[in-house]
Amino acid sequence: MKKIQPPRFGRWLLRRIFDDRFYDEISGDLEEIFNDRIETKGWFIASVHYFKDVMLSTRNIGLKKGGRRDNAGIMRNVMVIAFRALKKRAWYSSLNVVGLTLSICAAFLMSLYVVDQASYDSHFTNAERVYRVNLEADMNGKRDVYCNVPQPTAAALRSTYPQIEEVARVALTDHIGTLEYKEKKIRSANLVIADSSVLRIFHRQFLEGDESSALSEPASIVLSESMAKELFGRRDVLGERVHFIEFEKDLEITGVIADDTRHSHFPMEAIVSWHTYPQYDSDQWYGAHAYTYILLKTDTDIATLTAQMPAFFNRYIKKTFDEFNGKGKIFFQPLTDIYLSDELVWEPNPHGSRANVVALGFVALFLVAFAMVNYVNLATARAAERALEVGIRKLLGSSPWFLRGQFVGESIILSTTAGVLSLLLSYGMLPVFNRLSGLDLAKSQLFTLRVAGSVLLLSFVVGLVAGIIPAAYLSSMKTLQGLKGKFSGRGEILRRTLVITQYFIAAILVAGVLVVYEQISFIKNKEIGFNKENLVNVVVSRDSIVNNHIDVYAKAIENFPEVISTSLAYVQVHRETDSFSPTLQNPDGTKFQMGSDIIYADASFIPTIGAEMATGRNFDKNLTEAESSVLINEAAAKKFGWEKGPLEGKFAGFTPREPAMRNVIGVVKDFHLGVSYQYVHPTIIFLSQGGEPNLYVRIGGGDIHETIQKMQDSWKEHFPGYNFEYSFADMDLGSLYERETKFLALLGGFCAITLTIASLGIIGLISYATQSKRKDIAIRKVLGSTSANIVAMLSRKFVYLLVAAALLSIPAGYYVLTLWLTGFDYRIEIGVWPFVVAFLVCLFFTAVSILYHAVYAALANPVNALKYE
Amino acid sequence: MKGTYLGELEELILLSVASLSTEAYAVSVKAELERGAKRKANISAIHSVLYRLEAKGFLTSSFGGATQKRGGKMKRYFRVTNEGLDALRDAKIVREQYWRTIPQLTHS
Repeated sequence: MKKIQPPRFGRWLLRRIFDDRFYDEISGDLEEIFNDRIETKGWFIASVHYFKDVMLSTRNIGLKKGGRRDNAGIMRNVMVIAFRALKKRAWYSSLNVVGLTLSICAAFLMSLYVVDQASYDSHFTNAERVYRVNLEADMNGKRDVYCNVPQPTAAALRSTYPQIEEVARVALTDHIGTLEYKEKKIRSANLVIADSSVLRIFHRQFLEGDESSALSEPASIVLSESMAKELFGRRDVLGERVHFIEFEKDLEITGVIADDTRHSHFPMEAIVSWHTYPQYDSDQWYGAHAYTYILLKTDTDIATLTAQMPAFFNRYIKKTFDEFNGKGKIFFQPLTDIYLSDELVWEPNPHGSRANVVALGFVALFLVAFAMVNYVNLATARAAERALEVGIRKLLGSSPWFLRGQFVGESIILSTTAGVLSLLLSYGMLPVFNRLSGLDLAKSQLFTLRVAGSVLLLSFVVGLVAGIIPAAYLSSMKTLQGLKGKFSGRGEILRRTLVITQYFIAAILVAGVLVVYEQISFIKNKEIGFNKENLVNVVVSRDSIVNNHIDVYAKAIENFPEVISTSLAYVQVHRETDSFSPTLQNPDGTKFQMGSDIIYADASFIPTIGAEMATGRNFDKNLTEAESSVLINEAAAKKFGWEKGPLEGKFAGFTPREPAMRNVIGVVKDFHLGVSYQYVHPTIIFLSQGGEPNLYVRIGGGDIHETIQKMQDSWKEHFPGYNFEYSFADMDLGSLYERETKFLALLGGFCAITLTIASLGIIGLISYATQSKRKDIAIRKVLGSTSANIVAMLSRKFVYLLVAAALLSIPAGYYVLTLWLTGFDYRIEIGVWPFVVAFLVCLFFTAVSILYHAVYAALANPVNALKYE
Repeated sequence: MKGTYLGELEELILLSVASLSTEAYAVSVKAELERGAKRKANISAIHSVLYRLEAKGFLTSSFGGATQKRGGKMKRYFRVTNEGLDALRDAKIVREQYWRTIPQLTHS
């Protein structure tokens, strides 16, 4: 058996506890027990017990005997005194613990989020050597950065550059892949078509089948374990055949891979071999793109390869691009960077936001800093109170180091208590946090020895750092001054700065929450150019039966009184549409090329979604105009320079080589496809039929549920055995802003915590201020001051601080929020009001925090404060 | 020194050491205690008692017997001294005297 060492940290601790004379035998005993436990209970439990044993062994700390100083006795004394000091000031202590707990808990959860977001794809073996090949294309001034490249690129790269170890192409099947086995059908959004090399780049564990040959034959498929179980109810399904519905093909299962629960920007659940579809092997150097990934050999440099790309482009791609009057550039993106980068055109899946991750990471740091600041704040404010104690200790010969140790000890006791509490709190908060962050963290995965250990370590460090300032401050006190109880004045500026900082950040957060909220409701309610209410999207599965007869169904339901109109469109209102680079002809007969978006739809698309015509007319109902007419949108009219007479412009062909003249018969008012905060692209709308449409149904008001029911019944008659699936356009559109909404929720949560912590700091300060001014207040009252006067006197300082913080927060907050807003083409103007509200919110929290203490002090009977004199 | 009387755990551990004769060290005492007296005690408690008994003069100790399982570290073997045996015997006598004064011990 291989010898397993007990955890190093535990051994290190033991070394600290025992001197040489006892260390060997005792650590040997512990190690023996540890090894016994490994056999019966496993490494983890054994380690936990080992730590317990080490901790309990501290009871034998007194075994250090002999010539040296009795450190153990001193430690014990420090601890006892620290506990007494904390107990005596239970109110301060609990304030501190609450503040520390909240901030450590929040910072902990926050860092879970940050780590989760930053760890995408990093679990793949060789992840650091994998790059995605991207293409930046400038077609006549329409600049697009694609995250996929022309299909021949992969093979050309592989054969040209020896430093590339492996390349793989991956294609998505329009995000729909339905597999059928006997009566069972399952659909996966993560079904891809890929080269056999894909699993050498994105390493997956093979449960069944042979990794090297699994995808080399046409018509083979590799499934994830859970898909196999769902379809077959078992795992050993090698050689079974499934039917791939969208592509009407039988596939042989040649491998089963383990489910991958870790995150990837491109999760793959099922992989169909590339050679299944010879038509995918396009030799075009523009259009027909595939996601292409390369694996570099070890010890090669991506920069060298990147430097060779212009030559590569000129050799292979330039000729094609020249036809479109385009320029282009190939570049590489490290695999682990992809998820948090800006989304390029055709991203397989939505990305996370680096800005949000960084912002929340900072908030977490601030929270921890706050907690420390509060501790320092309270501890230094209490200096006068402890002056006598420090004076006496010094008089009795205590060394400054002993005093420092004592104060640091106190703060460490507090912070580790908070560490334990915050672990418990995060445990309880986990479901809420999961919902807010969209993560799926399990409790078991969270509370491993390592995670819990690092939280406790963090809290220990917080205590240590926060303890040092008051320790240095208090121990530096002059003995006589201390005995006289005179120790104040110093530290006031520090405390004020600390309070201002907290309010400063709290105010920025409050303003941030308001601005983010405003922007989100702005983009959600923005006029999008069509009516998203009562618009139903019926999913047309790529099944030949449904696909070929969907027009019959559309006609049938159009007869329902509840249905106003239907449209077969080749776009979805919540997705951006494709772009192309058409040739256009000015009224004077000159031609030019211009990048533009493209929509294929039937004649009823414009009225069905509720878009409006600006000039001209919509397509005729009959399809005779398909070859002769197009519509453009206002953005196109403007971009093409046709504002004066848009209807005199002409569409002159998809490529310069194939002229195809069509008249512009109308201009549609701009409407948004996809997110509402981006500029509407210039768009050309073609009349079309056939292919793979989406069915949009405009329904009247009334009982929507009943209407849907009728549509469903009719569906069952037309397509027995096929599920009726639908969605509402407004909900599809709403889901586009999920990322922003979650960010808002997280920001709101942390804003609340920050305010609470800042308030705790204020409560600490005011209660100290009222304590130290008891006599002051009493004498004022005796001399005729009103309670209101006294409350004002006590609160004034805090309000000044607050105003200063609020003023500072305006430029800083404005700057940060403007940065965030630049991600949106359409955005709100940041007004004054979020900052005013932020100030008022902070003022309110301050008022609540100080009022109780101030009023209590003001109303107290002066005799109580003065009677000892 | 607190005197020479034995606490309950002290007595049990002393007995364990005695019954283990030459094989008594902390881990084996812990096992013996679990086996013989059905008592679970943390290793640190055992250490604490063993060293205390040694300080009281009821035990002596010597080093030996490093094994790989212990990371090559030595064991401290304990043996009961004559004083230790006396203390055990005293404790037993005290108990027996009490037992004799109880006329009839039954569960009520």
